[in-house]
Amino acid sequence: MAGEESILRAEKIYKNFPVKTNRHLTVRAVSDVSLTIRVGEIYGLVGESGCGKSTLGRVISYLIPPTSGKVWLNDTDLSALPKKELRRQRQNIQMVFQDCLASMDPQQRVGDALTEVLRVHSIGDPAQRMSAVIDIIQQVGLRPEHLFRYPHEFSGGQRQRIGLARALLLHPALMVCDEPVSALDVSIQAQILNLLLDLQQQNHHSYLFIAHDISVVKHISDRIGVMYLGHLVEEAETEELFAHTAHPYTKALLSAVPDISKRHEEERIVLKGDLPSPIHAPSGCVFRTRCPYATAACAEAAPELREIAPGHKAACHLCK
Amino acid sequence: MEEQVILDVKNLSTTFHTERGDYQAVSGVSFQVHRGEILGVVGESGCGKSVTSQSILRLYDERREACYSGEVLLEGRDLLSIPIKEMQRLRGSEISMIFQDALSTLNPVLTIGYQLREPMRIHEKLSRKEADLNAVELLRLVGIPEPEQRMHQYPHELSGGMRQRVMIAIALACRPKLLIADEPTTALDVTIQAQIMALLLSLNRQLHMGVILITHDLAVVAETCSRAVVMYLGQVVEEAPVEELFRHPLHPYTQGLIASVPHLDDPGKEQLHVIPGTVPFLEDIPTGCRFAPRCPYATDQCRREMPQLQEAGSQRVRCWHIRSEGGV
Repeated sequence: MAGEESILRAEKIYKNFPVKTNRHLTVRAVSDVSLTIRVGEIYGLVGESGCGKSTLGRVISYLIPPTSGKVWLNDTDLSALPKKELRRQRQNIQMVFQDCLASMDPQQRVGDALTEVLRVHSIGDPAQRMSAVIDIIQQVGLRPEHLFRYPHEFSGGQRQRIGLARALLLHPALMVCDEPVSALDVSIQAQILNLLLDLQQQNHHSYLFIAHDISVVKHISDRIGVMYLGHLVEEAETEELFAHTAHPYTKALLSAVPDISKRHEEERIVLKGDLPSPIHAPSGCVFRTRCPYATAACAEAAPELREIAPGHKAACHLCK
Repeated sequence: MEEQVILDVKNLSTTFHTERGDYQAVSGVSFQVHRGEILGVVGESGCGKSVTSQSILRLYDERREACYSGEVLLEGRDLLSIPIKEMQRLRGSEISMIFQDALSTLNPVLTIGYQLREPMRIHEKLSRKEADLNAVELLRLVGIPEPEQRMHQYPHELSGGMRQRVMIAIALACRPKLLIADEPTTALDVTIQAQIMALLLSLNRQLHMGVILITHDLAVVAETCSRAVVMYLGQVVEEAPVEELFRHPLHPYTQGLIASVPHLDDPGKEQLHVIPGTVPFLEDIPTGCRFAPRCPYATDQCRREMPQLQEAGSQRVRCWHIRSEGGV
């Protein structure tokens, strides 16, 4: 089970992107997000498209540096490291992407692509690398002869297994999975989710699991953070979040999820309007333009993410 | 209170001609759509659900691409045997379709207003003024704020949810008897999906048309449809009223599919049910029952002979085990 010890801490992360056509505008993709991932836990990050969850995942794995804020891996401040040292540290954080076909070289056999991971980090000799790769490919449920095939010869589920194998090869302390199952059919999605849970129980890696599908995130995570327009609006242990949902956005999100056991006669919170643009985010609370409970106070001051119950944080003026 | 049948699909098959030979993507599909109902067609990718819907509209080129067999009766008239000119007249007026990706379906260089007026001007020969008035009314019907201004905008100026609403408005322009919605919310976020599904439900009630909702998402079917058809590898494997389908699925594939979806009220962190293996390619369709290689109950008979769809109470199932034990 997850301890209190943390593997990764992100402190006051901001990430802005310039708007190419207008120098005076910036996209505020992530604003003031702090979070901690504990040793051996699966932290689920959920939100709709454009909420900044993938950007946050990329900042945490230091694929892109934050505009401001710090990322601590164990006790190392990643922002203070020289390039070479950063690269060495990055072995400890590995990413799995949604579309594994796009992240693989179509002209390279899977086996070569996997051994290359070890080669660039100068791990072992060729024979050792090969045996490590054969070992990992079996762990993810494929066979050694698959190593001689090209990426296009695999199905979506098999490709996702290869993506997992590639990330696991380096025995990272933290796996960042960005929508790893959202391109898959449900029966294949179930296979991959089971595999992820099995691997986590065997290896005790920590995971940051990013997805838009809240049923999937709930199924797999120990703790969940909910993002909206670049902000972390609620965070709690999975059971607590579903038992005592506090933020109006989380409530609407949960209510919008279709479920086999629900029928359309049931009351549902249907949010009005669309997500505002992260270039012109609303003043005060970012959710107030779509919030059914918004008051004048919500337009004035941005609510802080604060603890409303032990381990349960929410950013809303109305949460007591 | 049996409603009148609008669409009766009988034994529809679609075969594609490719360089590597002919493949039958849809094999002997039959179902009916009644007035005022939403029929769900569910299945995983490659099961033939989209090909079925596009075959109803005869969207594949019959001279080169594909050939159809069977019957598609729209109020008794067989769409597969009428001249293609006649078919074109029916598309957009009697039967309309909305697709998953509204941005690539709408024309980027024409205004929303132009695209809304077009079907009314072609099919109903309305003047530009009359069509204009109707178009604004339609935009209001699908819940678009400030419809007069939207008429002059281009598709890229609207959000994903708004574009899907415009698509629906265009599809409804000539008051079709049948609306085919092919994954209408798959590209949308859940909060927007909830808006669009609520809209489809209320339009279905107001306009009393038949709707075929094609989706991979069982939960969407559970919430919006009255009946559903489950497809696997080009065939219907089960058809049932939605309550029955989810409470008491009969086909092993339906059972597996329902069990592999994580639910919000599950305890979590438990192993999900898995259907072993993957959907085979059309080149190597199994002999006998098409699901047999992945089915936990498969017997020699299943692997040898193809089961037919048979009645089981209010359900229809394609499985050898139904007759013997009355359910698996």
